[in-house]
Amino acid sequence: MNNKKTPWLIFNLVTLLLLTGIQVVQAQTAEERGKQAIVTYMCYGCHGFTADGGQTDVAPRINVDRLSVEAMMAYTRNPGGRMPPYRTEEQIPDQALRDIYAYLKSLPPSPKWQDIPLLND
Amino acid sequence: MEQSDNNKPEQKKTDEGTVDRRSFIKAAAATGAALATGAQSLNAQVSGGIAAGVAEEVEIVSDGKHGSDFMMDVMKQMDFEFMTINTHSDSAGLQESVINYMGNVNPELITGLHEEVCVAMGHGYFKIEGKPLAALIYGSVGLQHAAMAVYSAFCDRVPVYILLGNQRNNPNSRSVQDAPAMVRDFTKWDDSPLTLDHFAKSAVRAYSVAMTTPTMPVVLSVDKKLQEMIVPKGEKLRIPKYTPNAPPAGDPNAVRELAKMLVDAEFPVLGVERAARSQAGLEYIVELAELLQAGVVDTIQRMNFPSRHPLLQEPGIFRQADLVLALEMPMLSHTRLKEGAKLASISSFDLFTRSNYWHFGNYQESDFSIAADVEATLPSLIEEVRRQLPRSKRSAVRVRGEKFAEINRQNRERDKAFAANGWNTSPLNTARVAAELWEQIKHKDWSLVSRSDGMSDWAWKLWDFNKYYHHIGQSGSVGVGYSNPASVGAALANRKHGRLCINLQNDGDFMFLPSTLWTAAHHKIPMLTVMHNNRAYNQEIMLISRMAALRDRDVSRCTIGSEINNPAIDFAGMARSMGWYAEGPIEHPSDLPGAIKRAIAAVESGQPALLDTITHPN
Repeated sequence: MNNKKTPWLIFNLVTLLLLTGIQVVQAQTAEERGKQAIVTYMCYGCHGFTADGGQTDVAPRINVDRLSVEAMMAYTRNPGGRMPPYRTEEQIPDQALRDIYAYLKSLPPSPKWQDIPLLND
Repeated sequence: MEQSDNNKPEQKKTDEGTVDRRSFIKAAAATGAALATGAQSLNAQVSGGIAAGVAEEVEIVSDGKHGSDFMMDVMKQMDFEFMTINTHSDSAGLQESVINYMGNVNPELITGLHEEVCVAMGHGYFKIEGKPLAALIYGSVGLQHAAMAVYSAFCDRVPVYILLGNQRNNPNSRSVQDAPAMVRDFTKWDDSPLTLDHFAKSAVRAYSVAMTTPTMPVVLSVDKKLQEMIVPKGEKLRIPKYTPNAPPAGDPNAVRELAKMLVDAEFPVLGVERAARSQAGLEYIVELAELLQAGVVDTIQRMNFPSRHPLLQEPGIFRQADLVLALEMPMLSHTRLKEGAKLASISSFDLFTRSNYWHFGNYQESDFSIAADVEATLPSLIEEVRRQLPRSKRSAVRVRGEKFAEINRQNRERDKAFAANGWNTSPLNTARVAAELWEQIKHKDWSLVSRSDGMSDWAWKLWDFNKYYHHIGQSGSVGVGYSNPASVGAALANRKHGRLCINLQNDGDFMFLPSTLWTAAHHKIPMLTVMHNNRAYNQEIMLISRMAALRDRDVSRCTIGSEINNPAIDFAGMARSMGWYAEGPIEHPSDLPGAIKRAIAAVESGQPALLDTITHPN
C-alpha cells in the first residue's frame, strides 16, 4: 500500500463512520426520542414511563386521545393544579414535548377495566 | 439487698442447689398457671376491653440462683412469647438465662442483626398478636441504632418492651449514666432498677403501663452486675401481682349526648384512625356505621373497617358532612369540614402525650370530646344510638346509606379505570402487581404485613380486607426502614396461625435493614415479599423535580441524590444469599402469575420468598 494514500484512507474511513453515526442519530424516530424524553425531563417521576398515571392524587394519565399536541404543550408551560410549570425551552424544549406526544400517541391503548378479568372479581 | 457480697460466678452450684432448684421449679410452675390467666386477661383486654384475669403474686425462695434467672421468672409472669436480641456483652447474664434457665422457650430468642430490627419486629408483632414482645439490646450504642424504631412505635401507639444491658455499677467505655434518657421523649415510661426486688416491681409496672391505653413502648435498663449476682440461698424474692388495667370507657352522660348528636345529624361521617384494637373493634365500627348508615373515612393506621364495605368513603366526603365523629383521629381539623359542621371526638390522645417529639399536629378544636378508649366506648355508644334512633328516621337513614353506597360504587369504578391504565406495560403497573397477587391469595387465609400505602394503595383498593389480621396498618412515624423488619415481626406472630403473609416492600425502605432477611430465614418465618422496585426514592425525585421547575431550573438532573440505580440492586440475589427463595428482576406482566405461584409454593413449604418486581414509579 502506498504510504502517501494512508492518511486519505483513514480520513475517508473516519468521515464515513461519522456520517453513518449521524445518520443513525437522525434515524431515531420521534417516538423513540419521546420515550427517552419522558425519562430525561423527569415526566416519569409522577406520570409513569408511559404516562399512564399512578395514584389518582399524584398525577393523572396524559390522555393524548383527548388532548392536542398544542394543548399538551401549552399546559406543560402553564399548568394548573399541583403540576409545576415547565416554563422555559431550557427546562424542556418544544421539540421534546412534540416527541413525547408522538410517543404517547404510538402506544397501544390500555384495555378497559371491564375487559380485564382480574379487575372484575 | 447485699449485692456486692454475692456477685459470684456460677461454679457454686451444688447438689443441694439442685434440690432447691426443683422446689423453685414448683414455684415457677405455679407462676406459669398464674400466667395462663394473665395471658387470657390480656387477650380479653385486647379483644373486648374488659380486663378479666389477674396474674397472682409469686414468692420464690432462692437456691442460690443468678439475678438474671430471677429476672426471667419475672418475665415469665408477662408471658412473653419471643425476645428479639442483638447480642452484646452487658446482657450476657440475661441471654444465658433465657437459653439455659428458660430453655429458650417463652421467651424464645429471635436474633436480629441490628437493634432497629429488634424493635421494629416488636412493632409488627404487636399489631397482629395484640401483646408485646421483649427486645434485649445494648444500652448505649444499641439503643442509638434502635431509636427510630422506638419512635415509630411511640407514634403508632404500639407497646414494645425494651430491655437495655448496661454497666452502671462497674462502668466501661460504653457505659451510660441514664440509658433510657435518649428515648425518654418518645417512650411512655422507663426505669433503671437498683435491686432485684426493684426490678420485679418495675418490670411488672412497665408491662402494665405499656399495655394501658394509650399503649406505648417502655424501657428498663438492666445492670450487668444485677444480672450476674448470685441471690443468697434461702433469700425470698417476690414477683408482684399483675392486674391488667381495664381501658377507659367514655363517661355515660357524654356517650348519651354524643349519641343524640349522631342521631340528629343529617349526613354523619365517622373518621377512623387508630380506632380498632382487635376484630371486635372492627365489628363495633361496622355496627355503628350500619346502624346510622354513616359514611366512614379510614386512614388505615389500623384495620378499622372493611375495604369493600359500601359505606367506606374518601376524605373529600368530610366536606359534605354536618357532623364528623373522629375516632382516635386527633389530627382531623375543622378546616377539612364544611362551614358550620360539628366535629366530635373520642380519643385517648389527651390521656398521655409528650412535648418534644411531636406526633399530633395542630390542636384539634372539637365541638364535643370524650377522652377515652374508642373500642371500650363503642358498645355503650352503639346501645345509646340504637335506643335513641326514632322509627320515624329509619327511612331517611336508609336513603342516606344508599347515597354513600353509590358514591362508594363510583369511587371503586374510577379506581379500576385507573388500574387499567398501562395494564400491559413494562416496567410493571403496580395495580397489575396487586391484582395478580390477589388472584392467587384470595382463597387463602392471608395477612398483609406491610403498609398498604405502598404500590399506590392498590392492595387496599383491590383486595377484600375484612378481618383485623388482614392488615397491620401503617408505620406511625413514616420513618424509612420500618417496613422490612415490621413485616417479619408480624409474620412471626402470624406463623402459628398458618396465615400467608404478604409484604409489599419499597426498595428504598428495604435497603435500610436488609439483614432482616437473614432473621426471617434463620427463624423459619414464612412470608412473601414483593418488591416495589422503582430504583429510587421516587417521592423525593418528584418533590425535587417540582422544586426545580418552580425555580425555572434544570429538571433533568433531579435524580441526583435520590435514585437507587447504577448499579441496579439485585434484590433476588441478596435474598437467595440469606436463605430465601427468590426470583427477579421481573419486568413483564406475563411473567408475574408463574413467579407468584412458585413463590407462594415456597412460602407454603415454610420458606420465605421474595419477588423482585420492577415497577412504574408510583
